[in-house]
Amino acid sequence: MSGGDGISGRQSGRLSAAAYFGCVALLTLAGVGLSILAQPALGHDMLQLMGLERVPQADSASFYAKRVTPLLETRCAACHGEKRQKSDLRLDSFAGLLRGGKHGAVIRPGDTKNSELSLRISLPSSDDRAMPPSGKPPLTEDEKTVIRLWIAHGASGVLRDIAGAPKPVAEVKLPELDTARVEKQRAPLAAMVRRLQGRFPGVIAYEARDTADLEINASLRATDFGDADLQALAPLAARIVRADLSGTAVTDASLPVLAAMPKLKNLRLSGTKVGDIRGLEAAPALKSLSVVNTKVSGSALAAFKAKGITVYGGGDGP
Amino acid sequence: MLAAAGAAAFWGRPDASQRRVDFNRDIRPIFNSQCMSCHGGVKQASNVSFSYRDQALGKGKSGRPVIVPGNPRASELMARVTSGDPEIRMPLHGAPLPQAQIDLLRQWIKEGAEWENYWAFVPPKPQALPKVREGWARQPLDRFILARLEKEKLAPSPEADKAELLRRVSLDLTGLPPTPQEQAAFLADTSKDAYEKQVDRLLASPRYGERWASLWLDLARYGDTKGFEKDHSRPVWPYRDWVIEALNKNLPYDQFVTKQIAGDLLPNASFEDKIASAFHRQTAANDEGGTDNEEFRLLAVMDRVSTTWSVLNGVSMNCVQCHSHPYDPIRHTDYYKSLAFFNTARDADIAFDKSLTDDWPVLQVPSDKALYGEADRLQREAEMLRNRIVDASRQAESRAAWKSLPIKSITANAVLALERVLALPENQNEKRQRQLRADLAKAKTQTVRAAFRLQGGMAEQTGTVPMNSVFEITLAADMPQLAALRLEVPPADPVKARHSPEKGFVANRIDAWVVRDGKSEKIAFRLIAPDSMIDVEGNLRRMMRNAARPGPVMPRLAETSGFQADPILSRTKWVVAVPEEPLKLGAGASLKLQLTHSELINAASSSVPRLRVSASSDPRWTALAGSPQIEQQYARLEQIELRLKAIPGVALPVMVEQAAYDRRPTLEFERGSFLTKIGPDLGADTPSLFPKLPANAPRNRLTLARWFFAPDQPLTARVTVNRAWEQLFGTGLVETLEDFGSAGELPSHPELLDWLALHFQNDLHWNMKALIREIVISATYRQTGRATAMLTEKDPRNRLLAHGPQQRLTAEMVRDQALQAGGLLNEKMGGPPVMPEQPDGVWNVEANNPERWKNVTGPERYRRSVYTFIKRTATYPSFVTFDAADRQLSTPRRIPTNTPLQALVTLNDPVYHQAAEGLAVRMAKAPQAPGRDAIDSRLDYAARQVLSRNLSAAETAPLRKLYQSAGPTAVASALLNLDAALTR
Amino acid sequence: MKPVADMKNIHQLDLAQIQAQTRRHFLGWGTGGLGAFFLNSTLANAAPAGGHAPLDFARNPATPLSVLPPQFAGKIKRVIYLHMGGAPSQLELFDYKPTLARFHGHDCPESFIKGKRLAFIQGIPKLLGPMFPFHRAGKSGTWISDRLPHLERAIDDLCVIKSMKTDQFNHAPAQLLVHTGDARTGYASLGSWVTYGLGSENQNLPGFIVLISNGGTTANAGKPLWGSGFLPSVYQGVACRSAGEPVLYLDNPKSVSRAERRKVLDAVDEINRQTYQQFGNPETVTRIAQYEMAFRMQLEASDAMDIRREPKAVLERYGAEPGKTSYANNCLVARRLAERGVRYIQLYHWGWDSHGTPTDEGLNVGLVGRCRDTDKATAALLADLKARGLLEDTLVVWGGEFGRTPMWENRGGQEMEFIGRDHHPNCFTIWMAGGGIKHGISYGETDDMGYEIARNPVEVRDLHATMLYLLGFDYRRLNYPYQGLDQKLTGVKPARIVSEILA
Repeated sequence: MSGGDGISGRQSGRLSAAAYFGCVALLTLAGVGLSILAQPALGHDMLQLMGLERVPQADSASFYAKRVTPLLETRCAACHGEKRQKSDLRLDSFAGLLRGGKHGAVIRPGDTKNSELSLRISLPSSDDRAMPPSGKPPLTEDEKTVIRLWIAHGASGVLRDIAGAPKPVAEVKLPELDTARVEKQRAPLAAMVRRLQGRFPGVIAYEARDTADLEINASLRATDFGDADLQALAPLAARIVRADLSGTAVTDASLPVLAAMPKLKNLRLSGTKVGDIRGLEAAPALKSLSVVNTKVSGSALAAFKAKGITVYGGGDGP
Repeated sequence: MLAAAGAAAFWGRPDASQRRVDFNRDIRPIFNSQCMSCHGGVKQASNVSFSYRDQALGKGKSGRPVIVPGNPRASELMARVTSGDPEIRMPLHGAPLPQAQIDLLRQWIKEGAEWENYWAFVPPKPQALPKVREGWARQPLDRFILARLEKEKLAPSPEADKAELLRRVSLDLTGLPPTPQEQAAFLADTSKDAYEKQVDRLLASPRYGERWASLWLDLARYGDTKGFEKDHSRPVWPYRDWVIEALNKNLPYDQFVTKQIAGDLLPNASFEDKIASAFHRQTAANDEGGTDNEEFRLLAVMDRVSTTWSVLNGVSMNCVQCHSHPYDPIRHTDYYKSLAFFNTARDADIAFDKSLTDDWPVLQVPSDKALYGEADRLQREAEMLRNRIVDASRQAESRAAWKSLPIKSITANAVLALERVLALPENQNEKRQRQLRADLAKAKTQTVRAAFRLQGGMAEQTGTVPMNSVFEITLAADMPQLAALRLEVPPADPVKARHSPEKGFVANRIDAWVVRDGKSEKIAFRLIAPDSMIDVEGNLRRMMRNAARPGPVMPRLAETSGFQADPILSRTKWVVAVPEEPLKLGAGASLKLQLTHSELINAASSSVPRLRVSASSDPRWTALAGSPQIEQQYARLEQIELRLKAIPGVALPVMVEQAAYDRRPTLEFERGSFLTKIGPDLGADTPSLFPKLPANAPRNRLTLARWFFAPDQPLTARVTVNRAWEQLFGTGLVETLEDFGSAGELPSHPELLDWLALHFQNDLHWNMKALIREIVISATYRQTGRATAMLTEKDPRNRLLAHGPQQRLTAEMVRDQALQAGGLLNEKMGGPPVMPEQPDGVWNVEANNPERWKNVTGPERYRRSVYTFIKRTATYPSFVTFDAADRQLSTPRRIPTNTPLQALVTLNDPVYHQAAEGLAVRMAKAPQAPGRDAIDSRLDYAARQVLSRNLSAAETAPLRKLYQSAGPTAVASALLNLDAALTR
Repeated sequence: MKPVADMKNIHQLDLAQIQAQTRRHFLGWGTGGLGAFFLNSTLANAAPAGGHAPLDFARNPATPLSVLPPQFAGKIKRVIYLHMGGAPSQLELFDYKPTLARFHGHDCPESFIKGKRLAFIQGIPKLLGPMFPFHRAGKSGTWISDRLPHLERAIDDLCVIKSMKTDQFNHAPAQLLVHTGDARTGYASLGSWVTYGLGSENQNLPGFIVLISNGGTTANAGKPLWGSGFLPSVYQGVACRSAGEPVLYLDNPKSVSRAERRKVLDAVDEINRQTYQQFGNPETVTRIAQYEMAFRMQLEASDAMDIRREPKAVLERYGAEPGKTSYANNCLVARRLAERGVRYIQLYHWGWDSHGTPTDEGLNVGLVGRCRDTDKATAALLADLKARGLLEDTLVVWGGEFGRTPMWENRGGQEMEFIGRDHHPNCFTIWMAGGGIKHGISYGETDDMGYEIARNPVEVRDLHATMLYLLGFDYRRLNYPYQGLDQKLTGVKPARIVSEILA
């Protein structure tokens, strides 16, 4: 055998450059193919790197984004997230979830029975393959149901909502405080409010920082506060939403003033000399009335109950 | 693009008149308030952070550079703050930045985005004295104050009259108002330096130390109890006395601090130096049953880290436990490098004697100072002897060859254990006997379900082991001769246990027999060789409890010796039992071993978790056991313990470093939780933001303490002069004493702060009295407290100091002044704390803590307030009402309040009523002053006692009317409740 | 642009406030004292981090407890918190576990103890079924045992939350977490935050009052539970007593009559005004007002605390006995304080720590005793508030600091003859009643063994966020700048308002 070496054999002399590189390319492809078989995730990575495969994205209004991501981020990201990727699995992103980990995909869309993720979260906490592992706060039943339902419905990043999913926990919407708007609302009565606050310290207060509505609490002035004083507050009548006049010296004479207050929701007249409260039920916004320890008789209360106004005291008394 | 670049260049030329943007003054506040909560030390949303320069100039997740120096248009920061789209605009979902801030950012980037460390982390620069109108300034500091006043077009107020000035300086320096005699002497002294003479008199008075101690004891979180649920009392008053004495001796501030942080590590540390180290043992200790001692040991160690940094540098290091500092460039690992300085102390949240009063390790401090010398020598000798014993034992153990003796069987015997517990000297009281006999009777009926696993000669507990138990073990002993028997208890995970220790054990008696063809013969051990200090102390303590048993030491010791890892097991513990003579064994012989567990850890079983046994035939063991030297050492130790017990005194908890073989490694806690530790063993070091430690110095508390006083340390001097300033003027130059970082307040007079700091450090060499003297004799301090309406309007909180300070008396001063005015004050110094009158029910019944508040009678009732007993969970009511610290945590400053409850205290608290009655009696005896009738003379006398001056005509009228209608006690009570009486 | 940190400092006396108080009001000295007036802050509010302006809590220093409006209209005006110190066993009162009953006496599964941090249990304890029979009560059919017959009648007013959880398993730190939002000392208590945020309607009484009764040895964290922490000390809880002197040093010394005290105060008053003319220190003005308030508080506090003024029928309904210190007395005082506009009323009743070590702490003795001490008075308080129309804007909260284990505590591996349970942070039960809360429901479930939470966990900080929402605050906006952090009751972690129980 004259000088030819094993591979090409046909021509004498060394391999041609093209053949050599052909072999190298072939070998690397085979190597890559083998590693992808062993680690499918690597395949995705490479394709994405070369831009052949679009990195999967979930749109922000999807069931996945609203219900599943918060769970995965709080319960799984500590060990499967940015800082640490146990068994090379990232659960803090849609792409990471679909990519799977060292032992292959964790999700088979539509098939909860064979999805590793749903299997692991359903194991009893005593099983050391259970996720989240013992020692970490476990998933609650509702949370497990949300994940299982999402996988069962194809683990989609687009699907808006899934019937039968446990009701999402309603987020309480906290109103924004716009001081400029409130300033404007309060402007018309602001001077009057300040003057009357000076005259009756501790009696008049805005109901909240985001409203111009007012509250009256004269109970602490006791009998120093009478009909005339309530009359002095008439200019503010349109804005009063609550009035606690219990223990004061107001009498039936003030009832018309109170009845005329358009926004009055809550009125307390316990321990006062009021007796005949007929007509008070006409107060448009009245929701609850206290007439404990007063001469108000039970009979007068029917009209109030008819309008759905809760009445405390009167007649039966505590 | 080209046009834009051209325009930028055109606009880019900074207009000479326009001030350059200063990062600290203009930009950092924007970052702190608008960005840091999402892009700071805690959170780095899309890994953008403005804490560190390299990150701020780095790239965000979007890949675009956040800031490109010189080119605002290419900086993502500008794009984000100016964008119209709310989803992109920063601050996210918030109101857009005001235009002024956006312009500042653009200009700053254009001018090269120069980043500078926050002013507080840059060492103070020398300051030239400002040129001001001459004639007013008496001290250099006055020139800085006047310069600022002239800039604000204000003039300083006239000097206060003598009475006002003497009252202010007396209360500021000694915590007591001037007596009428002192007032008269000062008024009569017409010399030019009359005031300076008063200042020197006050600085030299022992009252000075008592007043300034209250401030330091707030910082040291000094309390006479241990805190938490049981809150047992703890005898720490010798440390309080050391503070008072050190302040009176005017110990330079650097030594004053170094002795407290690392007194025990000073080369040939004196007895007083060790007492000073009780500073860091003021941390709370939790004796509640069922607590994890390691958790509360770490809580105490973390308290020491945050207290050291807050008191000495005004840095809020406690934030960095869970994440990098939110505002300042201090990384999460820096916190644990600081922790490493303090994590190797020997205390472990345990009390050695079961009465829970001692807080191991302790220093026996005699009540009589004359005996300090002897107590010091004895305890040094005892430490040296313990070291010798342990070293000899460790050397012998490592030298000898060991042959494993596989354990053949092991059972737990509860009945035998309880019989032995019944016999213990400390259980001889009737109640305990009754309880133990009941347990014994029950134990006899129950079968013990203890379970063990035998593997490779080692026995490991697997099931439930009774509270008290004796492990009965049989061992194969196929070796010809046995000179020493070694018992080892390895942790389950030796690597992890080093930093996250496992539950400990206490085996307090070891018995063994040789069994040869059915017959067992007890082995008389001569020596139980310990492997660490805690065993020597434990064995000695148990032996001495058996005081009734006379005779030479070694046999008595062998009877009650064992070994323990209390409360935690962090490395393999061993003990070697050495018989008189080597035992001849040979074929057919086996060994029977008994390990007694009759003490508890945390009210739970303290039995050995796993056990390995091995033996050595090295004759040197028998020699060691027999050597007279060991016997002398133990005998001498017993003698020393007996002598120390004979000296009346207290067991003061002090800082003691661990022996080298016990030294704990310190790792980073993941997100601050001690349950998950990650990363390598961190060497102790200071944060990279600060100057480096000296390269070759040992990494311990002493090096750290000295480092705080190094010339290039940026903060220690500033924080200290600022604290003195706050005590004398009511508000510091930097108002937030506890936070000099970028989230704290900026100094009102930055140049003055730097000048004073350098002056205090380099010229006065940390001399506290000299610093205070220079401030109180300054023209600024001497101004009258009267504020014109214009001044109140322009500077309501007197930060510009256009008039003298007007401060409310501290809680201690209010009470001490009343006692002095009533002629009741008892000026005895030092000694155990006292319990003056307090309404019952303030100390509610603590879970099995028998201590009660017993109102003391006689003159002890009227000691100065600094000596009042301080219980952490129920502070003395009138002090709390006047804003005193409750000493749970280091309190950087007291925030004064003004409440109706304070009025009720000075009107109705028995001590103030007794003071008023005392003053009324003294008024009656007051001589009649020339030109004044009897009543006016008495009123003036009382006013001089309480207000440190005579009454004005306008003030006399209402008091005269009150005197005639309600009598002298009512007048005295009125005087004690005047606003002027509560102000200095 | 002034650095924002400077403006948020509460001690900054607003200039307008001094002028208003010095010129117009002070000279026209009214009999009612300075009283409270509202400060609509004109301070320029730069928008800090998180995009919304800081709420301004600065006040006239003469009345640090003056009323300030909540951020938005709240559902409640005051809180009565009934803390059962020592942790009552939820498995004997509200959380019925039939499966646990079936496994009574079996060894507990390993997962209950492997790698877990337990206070006293060692080795392998046995499971302990509920000691008392359970049944469904009221129209709502809520489960309850037979230990609380009186409360059972008000079951349809309650919202029972069975899925509370905490991360502390020792008494002192766990109580601090419940009442100050952090297991370490040094933090502001719930009552301090509420009076700091809203002030108190009655200026003649402390805004935050604490009433303590002992059902046995006290396992508690002491004063820090109602301390003001980093908030100014004026907002700390004032411990009052329903027997003897209600507030410390309230009563004049025996030898001083009220008339004589008035003469002393008049003299003090007159001289202080002279001092103010000379020195112009605003603190003097404040001190004048505080002495006036102290004089009025002497009357008002004695009246509010004096249960002898209640008719006999009411005393009987509560089981209250004047002159004694008892939980029943404290409940009656709580209603009287609520009527008088006190903002936050905190009751503590110790002795629920039923480990079974001493007899009186066993489930069969201690728990029964504590139920007897508290059941009647708690039910009477609820009924009284409802009848007087106060319950609709009051929040009543009842609960302990953690739960108790489904396992029979075998302290130190030893079977105990007294029946007890160890501390259990994983799940416990509280109930709430009053304004803004659904009634007649139970919320959250634990698993069959009562070991872990199965549905709707509620962290302690979630409870706090919900309470602050009912009071009219976004829990992130009620803050106080200290050590560079805008401190919040809920701490640094995000909290969730439990929307499902809001009416």
